[in-house]
Formats: sequence, structure tokens, C-alpha cells
Amino acid sequence: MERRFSGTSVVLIWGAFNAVLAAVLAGFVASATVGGAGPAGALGFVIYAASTTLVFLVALAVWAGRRRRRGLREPPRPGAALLLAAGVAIAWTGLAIGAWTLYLAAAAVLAAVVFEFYPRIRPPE
Amino acid sequence: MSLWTAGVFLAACGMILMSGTTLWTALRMRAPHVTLLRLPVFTWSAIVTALMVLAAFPALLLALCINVVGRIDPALVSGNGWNIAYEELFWFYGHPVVYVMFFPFVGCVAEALATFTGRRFFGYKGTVLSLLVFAAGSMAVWGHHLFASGQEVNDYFSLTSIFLTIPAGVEYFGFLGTLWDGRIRYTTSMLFALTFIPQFLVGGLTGILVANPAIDYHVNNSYFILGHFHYTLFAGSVFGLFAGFYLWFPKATGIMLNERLGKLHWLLMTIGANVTFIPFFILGYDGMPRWMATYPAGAGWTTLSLISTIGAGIIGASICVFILNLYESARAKVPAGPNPWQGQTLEWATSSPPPPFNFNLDYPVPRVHSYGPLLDARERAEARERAAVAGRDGPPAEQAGPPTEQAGPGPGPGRGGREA
Repeated sequence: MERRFSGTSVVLIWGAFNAVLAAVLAGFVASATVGGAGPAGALGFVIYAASTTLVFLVALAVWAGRRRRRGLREPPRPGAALLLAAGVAIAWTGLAIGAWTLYLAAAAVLAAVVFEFYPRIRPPE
Repeated sequence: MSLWTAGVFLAACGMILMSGTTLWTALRMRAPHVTLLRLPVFTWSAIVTALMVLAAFPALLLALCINVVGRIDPALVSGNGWNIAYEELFWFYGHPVVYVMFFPFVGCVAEALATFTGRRFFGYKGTVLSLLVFAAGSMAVWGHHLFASGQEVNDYFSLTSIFLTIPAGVEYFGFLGTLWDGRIRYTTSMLFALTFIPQFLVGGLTGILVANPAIDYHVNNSYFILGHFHYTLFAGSVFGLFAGFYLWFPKATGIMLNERLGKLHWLLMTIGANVTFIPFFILGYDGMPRWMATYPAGAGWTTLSLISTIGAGIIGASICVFILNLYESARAKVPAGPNPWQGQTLEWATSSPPPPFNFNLDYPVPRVHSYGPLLDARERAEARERAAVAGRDGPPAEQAGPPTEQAGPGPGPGRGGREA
């Protein structure tokens, strides 16, 4: 049983639980006995069904990734990710401070791109 | 407002990405021989938390999009349908996020209980299943926040909200079964875990009350709801958080926290939490609404509000003790060693703090037969010892079991018990 209990099956099982609950919600929304809930209930069902579909897409992604190499490697240039995050944060503060911060953000993002890709073009000796 | 919206949007995106990596790591990048049913309960709680984030947080992104569109051109989202859509989307995220804030701490408590009773977690498979069911059920209860709006299918959301007591009950059964007949060590982590159990139960039981629309109409928007919420997320989750913090701090940093200050922290926080939040239930039932800065002098709420404020002060004092503990422990630097608590799970088999990628030649990955590989090794060692003693008078020691496997330094006296 342990071998058959894969990552994909975990997400699928969880999606199935949600699908059952969403189906029951649909029944309640459509039921004349419990009064339904009009547009709000129908909208709630649509949101829940969409979310459940997303869970099944996650299951599909986990299944599709089953043959990916499982080796571990250190991130080669974590500084680039940090610069990118700084760029986005600076751009974000521009909403409060002013649009000129976008220039600073662009510089940070550009530096991140260079920092990430330059060593790939010219690997260190 | 735009800054706030963008900030929440980015934070939600960050949570979604983090949950994706957590889920991928747990489902696809486990150590050799670690099958899914050999993962610690804490890891399972992280898996279900990640699933809930991936399923619920996109709804928040959509709700924020409505918010942004409304700010650009209010006419575009002016109909009542948009108000309903915003509320539905927000609460579709808003309820599961409460569970996102406590599921990991349920896992912390489970690990602390198993570690400090020296037993396997009771009902492991049942608890794993109940976590999955609990998490799925929690996706289907958001409408109970809108009971009083008259817009929801109250019957359905009342049913699903009360249904959650079943998986929650299974988890509590696991907690109590683990404690039963265990050799309990009252460390700070264990005290926080033990306090979590009754306090979170108060949060859960009052949740059943407000899952009933008839009662919810009465206490809607009152301090009763605040009491329920704070018993869940403060008296529950924060205590679980500290159970995990005191348990894993030595592993993460390599130094021990001061146990005496830790117990003072626990004592003050327990007193403070209950003195603060018990009055909320009485105030709420007396009709004190939440979200109010002040109230009429003759409302009769002053004494209880004062008691509650004193309790909040005690909680503040407990946090000061905690900060002092961090400072003192960082100064004293008492080395933790790889396994200071005689832990059972894989992380205790490596150094404190762990090396990059957790294991190396000095600390190889032990053979994993269950979710408690170090407890397995201790039990085998004890079996060999018993057989060796018996062998002097009777059968040879070879009959006792397989050869020794790496158990991690410092095997402790844990009693094991049977896997449920």
C-alpha cells in the first residue's frame, strides 16, 4: 500500500474529497427544499468547482514531474533572485512614493538579469 | 490603498510559490526509503497546508483584481453582483487561511507529544487521513462567515462546519492515545503542546456553536466570535508554534534554550491567554460588538474588559520573557548536540544545525523503516540488549533481530510502544 500511495495519488485523493463536497454544494444550491441561495450560492459553487479543478491540475503537474531528476544542487546564483526581489519591492514602493522609483527598480531588475545570465554565457574558469 | 492591494497581491503570490515548492519537496524529493507513509506528522501537516494555499489563495488574487478594477473605474464593478463576488472570493480564501495558520502547529504538537512521551504517534495513518479530510472539509465551510447575510446556503455550510468535528476528533484521539501510558517529560515544548490540547478544544467547541446559524445570528459580530477565533489562533496556534519553536530551536541553531525561562514564558502565556480570552465569551454573549474603540459607560462591560486588558498585559510580559530567553541562550551558548530530546524522526539523526542538504558523510541518512527511524533503532538496540541478557542463560543473541543500523548519536531511553 505504501508504494502505491504516491504524491500524485495524495493530491488526487484530496481533489476527490473536494469534488464530492463541491457536488454536494451544487445539490444544495439547486434544491428547492432548502431554498437554495440564488446567485450567491451559484457563484460559490463556481468558485469551489474552479478551485477543485486547480487541485486536479496540480495532481497532473505532480504526475508529469514524476520522472524529473531528483538530484539536489545548490542554487548557482541566489544573489540574482535577491536583486529581482529588491527590484519588485522598489517598484512596489513607487505606488506610494512616485513613479520615478521605477527607474531604480528597472536598474535592479537589469542587474538581476545580468547577474543570472552572464555566467551562463561565459562560465567561470 | 493601491500600495496595500499590491502588497497583499505579492504576499499571496509568494505564499502560492512557497507552497508549490513545499509540496514538490515533500512529494518528490524525499530521502531514500522515506515513503509518504513514513513522513512525520508535521510534514503531513505541511503538505495539507500547501494544498490549501494552492487551492484557496488564487481566490484572493481574483478578489484583489476586483478591488483594483474598482479603483481604476468604479463603474465597471458597481453592480451588487460584484459585491457578492468579492465577498465570496474573499471568504473562499478567508476561511481556509485560518486553517493554514493552524495546521502546521497541529503538526508541531503531534511531534512534541511523540518526542516527549517516548512513544510512536498513536493512530498515525488515521491522523494522516484525518488531516487530508479536515483540510478538504475546511475548503467547504467559507459560507458560514456569511450566515447572517442571507445570501448563503446556510444548511450546507452548517453541515460542513459541524462535519469538521469528525476529523478533528480523530486528531485529538491521536493526541490522547500518544499521551496514554507514555513516559512524559515536562519540557517547555511539551508544556506548550499539552496546553494546546484543551485550549484549542475550547476554540473548536465554540466553533461548533457558531456553526449553527441560529446561534450565529445571536452572536454574529460580537466578542463571542473574537473569543472563538482567539482560542483557535492564539490559545491554539501560538501555543503550537512555541511547542515547535522550543522543540526545534536546538536543531536549527545548535544551542539550547533556557528551560527555566521557557517554563516561566509558558506559565505567563497560559495565564495571560485565558485571562484575556475567557471574558470575550461572556462579553459577546452580553452583546458587546467587536470592532469598537469604546462603549457606553453603563453597558456593564467595563470590569470584564479590564480583566481582559490585564490578561493582554500578562501575555506581553510572557513575550518579554521569551525575548530574554533568546538573549540569554544566545549568550550562554549551551551546545545542543544532534539529538538533545531523544527525538524519533529523521532530522534528529543529523548534526545541529544540519549541514547543507541535511546529511553528509559524518551524519549519513539512516535506514528508514517507519516515520520514527531513530525510535526503531532504539527499540532494536533494546531488543538486542534483552536478548544478550537472556542469552547468558538461554537462546543465543543472534535470534534477537537484524544487525545494528545507524541510530544517530546519543540514543535515549525512549520506550517506543506499538505502532497504531
